[in-house]
Amino acid sequence: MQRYQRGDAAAFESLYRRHRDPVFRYLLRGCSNRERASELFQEVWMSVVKSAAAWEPRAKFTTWLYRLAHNRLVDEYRLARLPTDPIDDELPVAAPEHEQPEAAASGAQRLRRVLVAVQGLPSEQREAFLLKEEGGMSLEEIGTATGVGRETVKSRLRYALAKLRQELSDVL
Amino acid sequence: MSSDRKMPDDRELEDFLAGRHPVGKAYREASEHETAPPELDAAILTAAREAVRTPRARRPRWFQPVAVAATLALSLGVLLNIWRDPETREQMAPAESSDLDRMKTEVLEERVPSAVVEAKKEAGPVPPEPTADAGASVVTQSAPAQEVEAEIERRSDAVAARRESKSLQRDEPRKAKEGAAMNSADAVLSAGAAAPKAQAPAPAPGKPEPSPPKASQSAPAASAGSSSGFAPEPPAAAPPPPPAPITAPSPGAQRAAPLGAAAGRTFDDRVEQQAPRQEKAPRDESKDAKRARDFAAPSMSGGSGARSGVASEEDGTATGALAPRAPSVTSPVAPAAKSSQPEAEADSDRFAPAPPEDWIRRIRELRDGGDITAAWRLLESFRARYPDYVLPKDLRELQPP
Repeated sequence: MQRYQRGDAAAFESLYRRHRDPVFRYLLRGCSNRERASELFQEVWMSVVKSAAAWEPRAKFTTWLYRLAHNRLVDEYRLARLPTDPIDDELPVAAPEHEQPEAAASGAQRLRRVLVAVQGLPSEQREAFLLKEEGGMSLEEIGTATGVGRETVKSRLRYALAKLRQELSDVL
Repeated sequence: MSSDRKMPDDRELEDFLAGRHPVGKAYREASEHETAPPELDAAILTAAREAVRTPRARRPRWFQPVAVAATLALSLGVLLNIWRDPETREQMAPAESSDLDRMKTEVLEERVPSAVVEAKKEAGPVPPEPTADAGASVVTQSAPAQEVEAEIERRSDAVAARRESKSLQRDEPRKAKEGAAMNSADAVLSAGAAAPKAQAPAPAPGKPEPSPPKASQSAPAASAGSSSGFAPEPPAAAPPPPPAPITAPSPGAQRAAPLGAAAGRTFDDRVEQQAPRQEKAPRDESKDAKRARDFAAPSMSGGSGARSGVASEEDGTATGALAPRAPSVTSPVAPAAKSSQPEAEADSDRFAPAPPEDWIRRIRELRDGGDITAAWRLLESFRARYPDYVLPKDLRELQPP
């Protein structure tokens, strides 16, 4: 990013190639609409271009990039009035529901169930999960990107993993 | 804590963070084929290249803090300047713009009942439900408009005089300091120049005279001091002035007392600036004649005359205008209204300060004569009077006794 600030356009292309697909998947899981995810994806990278001059190496570029993406998603939630209320972490995780046990044998169906299960997570838990999986971020970085503390991130990840494990216990 | 003692959730989380969790593996396997639309790549990369080609003119980093600091310093300086100068502060104070309207309303209200009664008498039967507007219209018809205008003018003059009086009262502490310093200086100066006057007790420096009679007593000494050193002397046998006719502690007299003689110059300037209607005394008279006349005038009370004369001129308007209806305004300043205007002019002339060279000469004389204490006192007074004057080297080395 510093090289791009100094005028090296190739450095930006390198950054873009590295983070393009993970960011897109993060946005796609967040809004579950490919077209809308494409628009958000373009907005995020345009923000990176515009804000590049003011960027300072206080944190990793990845953290900054996903924070931009996170803010876009939050705006999207507000516009779509999607539920963004904080999760009551004290509630017990729901019991697994195997609606179609016979379909689990199929590979495509298995992968689809994984994605659907991730999509079905509460937004905060899903974000924490995706930031780890797509961005490869640590607990602290996830907290920085989403504006919460490290312990909150841990809690969200625990509940997300528990729920996914129970949802996908028959296919894992 | 060892890994064996950890809760199952903690172990699961550690596996997930390390990339070993089956859910993570399954997710990566399921999502690896989802990629960003390639049609967006060109648009984003082109925008990035263009942004690099046309770098925006960036202000230097020091620009903003320096601008903020400069703005703050400038504002602070202006504020301090305004706060130090009481006259400017007074001008900056919200003007009582509604004074004139209020006075007009008062005059109209005072005149409405009589006018209405007169109108009733003339009309005979009472008109049904007379309103305030009706009364006002009657006033405009029956009461002479000129009379109302004159009344309003008189009241506005009174209010102006009151404001002037307040501003002078605010200046009093500063003037008192200057007056005390100059009284002391004049006394020391006069001590060397005129032997008979040197025996007159000079007022202690820094102690303004608290009451009008004391002011009138100390005034001759001060006036003698100022005249003996740098101007022709008044007659030596001049009788001491009688007690001032001001018996009530009027604001004008209270102001005049601590001011003393030497503060008359500053106040004289103020008088010339703030009382343009005041006619100046004829200048063709010699100073000797003026001083002789001042000392002979029984109503004059030394340095206080300058102030009381002006105060009387200003407050006299208030007395004449508001005496019948607002006695509280006129009572504190009424006695001072009897002093005459030319006397104030002459008095302020008499207390005109000496040039610095005369001070220096006199200080040297005192020092060379061995009166170090007097020389030091006079030097202190000189420093107070001319703080920016660069002293000669020999006087700078003068040590306190």
